[in-house]
Amino acid sequence: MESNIPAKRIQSSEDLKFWFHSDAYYYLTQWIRLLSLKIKQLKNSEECKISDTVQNILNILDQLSNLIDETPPDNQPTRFGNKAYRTWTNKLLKKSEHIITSFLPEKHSEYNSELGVYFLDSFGNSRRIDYGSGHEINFICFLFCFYKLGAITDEDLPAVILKVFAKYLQVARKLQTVYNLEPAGSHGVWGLDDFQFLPYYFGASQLIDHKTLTPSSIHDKTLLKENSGEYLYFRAIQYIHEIKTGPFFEHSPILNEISNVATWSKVNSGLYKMYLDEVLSKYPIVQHCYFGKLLPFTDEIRKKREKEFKESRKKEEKIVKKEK
Amino acid sequence: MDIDKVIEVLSKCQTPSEYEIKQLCNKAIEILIEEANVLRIVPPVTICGDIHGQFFDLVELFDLGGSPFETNYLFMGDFVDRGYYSLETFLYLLALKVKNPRRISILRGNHECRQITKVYGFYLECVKKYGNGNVWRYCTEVFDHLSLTALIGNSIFSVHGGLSPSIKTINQISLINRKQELPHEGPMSDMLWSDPESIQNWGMSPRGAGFIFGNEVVKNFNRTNGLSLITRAHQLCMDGFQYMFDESLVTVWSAPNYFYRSGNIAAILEIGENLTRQFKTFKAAPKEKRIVKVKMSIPKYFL
Repeated sequence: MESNIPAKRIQSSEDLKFWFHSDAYYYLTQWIRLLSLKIKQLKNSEECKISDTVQNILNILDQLSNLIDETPPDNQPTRFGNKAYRTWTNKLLKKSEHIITSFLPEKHSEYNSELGVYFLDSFGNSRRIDYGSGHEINFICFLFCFYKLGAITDEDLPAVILKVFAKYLQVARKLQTVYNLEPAGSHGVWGLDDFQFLPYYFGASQLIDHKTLTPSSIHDKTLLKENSGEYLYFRAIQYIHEIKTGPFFEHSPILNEISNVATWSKVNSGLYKMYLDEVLSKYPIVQHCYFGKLLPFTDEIRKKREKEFKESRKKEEKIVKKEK
Repeated sequence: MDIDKVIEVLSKCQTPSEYEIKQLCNKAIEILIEEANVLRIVPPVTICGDIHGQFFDLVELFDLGGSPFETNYLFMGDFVDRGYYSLETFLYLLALKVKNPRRISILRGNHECRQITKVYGFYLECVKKYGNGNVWRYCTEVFDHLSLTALIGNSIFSVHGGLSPSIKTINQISLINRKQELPHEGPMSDMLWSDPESIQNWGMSPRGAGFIFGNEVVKNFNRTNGLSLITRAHQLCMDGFQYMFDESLVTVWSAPNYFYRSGNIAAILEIGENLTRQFKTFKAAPKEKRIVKVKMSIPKYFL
């Protein structure tokens, strides 16, 4: 039986192979596809149902943002990132018990620590003063926990991305810029983005069949400015322009090439495949993933499918024998 | 293979033929295979950190530090991944090494291995430029033969990452069988993955490989081995270099404006004949000197 405290389980190439067949992998990939589906053609400002649970997460993210304002960068000598980030993290940890116990209703309190591990590792690494796609995965896992427990339902899902994830990105970007966080494990010019991946995937879904905006619209500065408030994809591109120097085609060649894809639908489906291949299949990232009861490192689903397959084969063979 | 012709081509950030690359790599292995796990270097020498495929910034480095035909250089690894020109960068340094093995010293970084280069861009770059993985294979064979550390004038120790709890004396490093793919753990892995940290002793590394090590570890290692300084790379520095532990360890970083966003300067460390130390810093090559001729294509996921 899986422990309640999530632990890192991918430590070898055998573990990596098992990961692809694991229940956690299945849940995580289906979860992000479901989220993408639920926000199809919706703007950020779309009116969505915001439950108490969702509102609480939003409030907490606001608190974290305020905590950054209360913890300005300091003048300590540093290799790169600002050490006040560690102060921010310590403050978060001091508040964490109070925060974590507020997430779930009492009946699910046994899962608080599981949720807590994902949540607290969503905002970067305080030792290295960095942030990367692994931290983004943790936040998505954090959100999944609510869904698995029924604390968030299908009706809440548009708000989960358009309000909660959007706000999470604001906090993450504020941390990145205020504390000068290093990109953790960036692929440089060979990767999509130094810090994030899913804003592009979800963002493309928002834009599917848009009447006027096409993938190449990201090059139009006016359109970028006008639409970055409503669309995650445009905001992500705008953010890159805020923090990188030099021509776009030089510092972000993959995003530049994607702007030549004909439709947002193709961008969305292509990014899903790319995410599986370039994020979820890569040992340097997934070695840091956590597995507990809600995202278990087991393969019950595969075993069940194999069993069902064997049984249906047996039935078929019986039928064939009978006919003979 | 005409080594001068190969150097000429590479110096312009152009790539030789696949056959020439194979010959270059074979020739390099012949030289590297004779080198010890601890290179003995007589100063003067200029020590450099990570380059990560930033070819035009390597040109700036040579402009600042002196021609590689006239100046002794020690590169502490991480030539490949993340930048556009990992191949040209690595092969250029390799060709310079083949031309003058005593002048140019190159160490292995944690990116000089198969597993990492398949994730962080070098493999993709090779396939893009040559249509197949052969050139990547030749280079990774060379990686397996790169030395791990250097000792300059008996008192300056250089390594890509840092120290290992398994290695108390420099002599112990000679016992390592380095001619293999970089292992996930053990002293060879530790030396290419570890980081110094503001602690006293050893700790778990958040990287998932190697360790973090602190003040007492460095002071003990230096005392035991009669060292005045450890130089290492592996971590981005805003100012190009950073001293730690009362100047007994220094990180040197040689990739300016890393990721086009870091705004960091880069550095080299010139060690004089009498083991004097002078840092020189440089910025990223200006726009007019940067040629982006790698034509990325729409990734396969979108076709």
